[in-house]
Amino acid sequence: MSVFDLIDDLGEEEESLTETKFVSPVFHTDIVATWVKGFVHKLKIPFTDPGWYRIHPIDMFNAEIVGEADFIQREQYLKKLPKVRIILISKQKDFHIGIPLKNNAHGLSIENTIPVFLVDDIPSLFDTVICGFDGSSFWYNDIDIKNDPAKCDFMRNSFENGADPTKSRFKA
Amino acid sequence: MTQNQEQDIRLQMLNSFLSCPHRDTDQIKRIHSELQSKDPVFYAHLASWYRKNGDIRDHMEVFASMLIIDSYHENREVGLAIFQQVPTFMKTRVLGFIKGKKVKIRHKTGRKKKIKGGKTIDDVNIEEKMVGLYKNPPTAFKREIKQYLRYLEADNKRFDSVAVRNARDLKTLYASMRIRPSRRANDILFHKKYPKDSGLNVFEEILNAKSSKKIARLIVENKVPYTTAVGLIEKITPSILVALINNMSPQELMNNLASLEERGALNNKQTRELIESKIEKVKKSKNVSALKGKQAKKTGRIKDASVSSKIDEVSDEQVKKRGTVKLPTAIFVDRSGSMRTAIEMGKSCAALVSGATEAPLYVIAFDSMPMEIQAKGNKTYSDWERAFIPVRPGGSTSIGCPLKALGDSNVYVEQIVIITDGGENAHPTFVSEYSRYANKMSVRPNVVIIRVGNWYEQFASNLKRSGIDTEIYTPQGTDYYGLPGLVQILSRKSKLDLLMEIMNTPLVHRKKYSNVAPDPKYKNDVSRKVLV
Repeated sequence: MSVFDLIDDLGEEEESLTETKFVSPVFHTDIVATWVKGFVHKLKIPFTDPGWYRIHPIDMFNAEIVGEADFIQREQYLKKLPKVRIILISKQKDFHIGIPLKNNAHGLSIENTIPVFLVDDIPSLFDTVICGFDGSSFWYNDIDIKNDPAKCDFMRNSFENGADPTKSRFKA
Repeated sequence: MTQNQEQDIRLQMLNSFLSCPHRDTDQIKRIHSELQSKDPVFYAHLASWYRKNGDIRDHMEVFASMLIIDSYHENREVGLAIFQQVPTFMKTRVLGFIKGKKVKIRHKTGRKKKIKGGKTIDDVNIEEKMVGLYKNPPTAFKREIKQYLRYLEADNKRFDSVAVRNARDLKTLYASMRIRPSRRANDILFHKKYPKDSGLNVFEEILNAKSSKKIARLIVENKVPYTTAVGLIEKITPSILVALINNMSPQELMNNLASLEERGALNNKQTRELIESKIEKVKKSKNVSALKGKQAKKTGRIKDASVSSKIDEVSDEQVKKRGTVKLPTAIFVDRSGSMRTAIEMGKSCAALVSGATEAPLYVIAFDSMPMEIQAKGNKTYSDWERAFIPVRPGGSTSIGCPLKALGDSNVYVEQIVIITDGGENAHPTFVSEYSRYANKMSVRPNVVIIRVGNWYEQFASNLKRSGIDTEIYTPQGTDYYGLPGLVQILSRKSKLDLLMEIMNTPLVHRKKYSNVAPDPKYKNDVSRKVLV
């Protein structure tokens, strides 16, 4: 395939972008991204509240918000992203902070905290949640039901009682 | 002047090739001028050798400038020949250096700052400084510039292809030397009026084009250079990105690999093929900084395994071009207290030499005991980085202990590189172990000392007093532009071999321009006032 064929191919795909709609999480930004044959293509949207939205590209560079995405659309979006399990350790104004589980597939360090966006359930402190990772942000998906709730209780109690973390040991 | 002093100046010069002044050419002006005045013949040969083998443009700029104003006719010819061979932007730099110019020097503050889009970059302070020789350009130089400009003017296509990328440099050459441009050159450069036959009309077409497909096609069809095209485009779409990748030079591609990956260019099969085929071409390219790829990898932004391994291949291939180390070599890395810089330098040297060696290489870190470091896999920079993880600074310094370990294991080496500050304070000492090793293995290895940190003179003078053939280099910083120069040094059997090779390099000569436009005459021209 020559460069010109590739350009034509991508050009047609770009032009047909206005006929499509896509779902995207939005968190205090006016930029959303979509794929065009594997390429990341960014579009500008009007500022809006954080949430999951259906987006419609108006032209190559701008898009409008059609409405909020429903649960199924959100699930479909998150299904495509690799999953990361994160233990929530604090709640900020409109996002949570957590630490990834030790043996995560992305090699994320447990020494650094990471923000978790768009948490719409009400998880408790030290709950493990499943997030979708798009390469730069962690989007909340669900609470990890496989996690032992007794472990979370133990950590919460230890935290409230001011126990020494180096000596606290959970016995299953 | 003693023989020793003469050697020191040459050595200092070779030393300076190991570090890059990053546009602050005043830093290297003194050493160039000293060598030029003391040994002008050697200086001219060194310039010719550096033109062929050198990496750092700042040195090339100073070589050409110093030789152009040299009082020896032969040396002036070499300077003008180098000037003739360098690209247009370098011609302007040489002219600026002779006349004196203002340069902007960027200093990293060590802090990071966030920019638009959430990216984190190094915070820099920009310092403006005057550098140069502050001399009047000689007439021969002016004539050479004039010939070059007339040569460009003689062929419209040739002129346009240079003007598309170097319009500002061409303007400087015309204006600074008061050379009258042809009418066409005057219109293009000074009035931005592009004739109908000019390829530069494409700029306007790109600015007026409405679909990104058309912009992309125009960029590819007219071979608009990447740097120029990026300035013309408001926003980059996938099709435009493909056009830009197609027009990138090998160095530009290496510089932008991480950003291309982030934009998803590697997710598309055809674009990946295009990028990989371009990386293959980088291997053969002459104008690529050897360790650029490794540096790009060090940032951790390139995550694609296949591209990453290709970058290693490219870097190794580029390093090999600087020379092949054919002698069995040992690298001793000082890991004693506060020798963090030596460890960092050791990693880079090991990665660099292992990519360019055809003979066995032994890397040993030492304090008062030796510790052999072995990289697994392809012995790339990241492999060496992993291998150096357990090496931490601390303890006393016995530079003889790694040599003793080599002797005890009957390991034969002909070259020893010691990265140290020379603060030897524990036994066995290097001098005592050297004679023992030489007797046992029947070889007297060359010793290359790379001094780091606050170095002690004592160690090097002990070696010289004991008759050990020693070369000392003191690179300023450990930046990747200068480091490949180390391979050039290690690939020769001794410093004398390198100096002989330099002296045997034929001087560069000027070539006659094949086709030169006549001087423009505007005697009866109404627009004369504008043009004069």
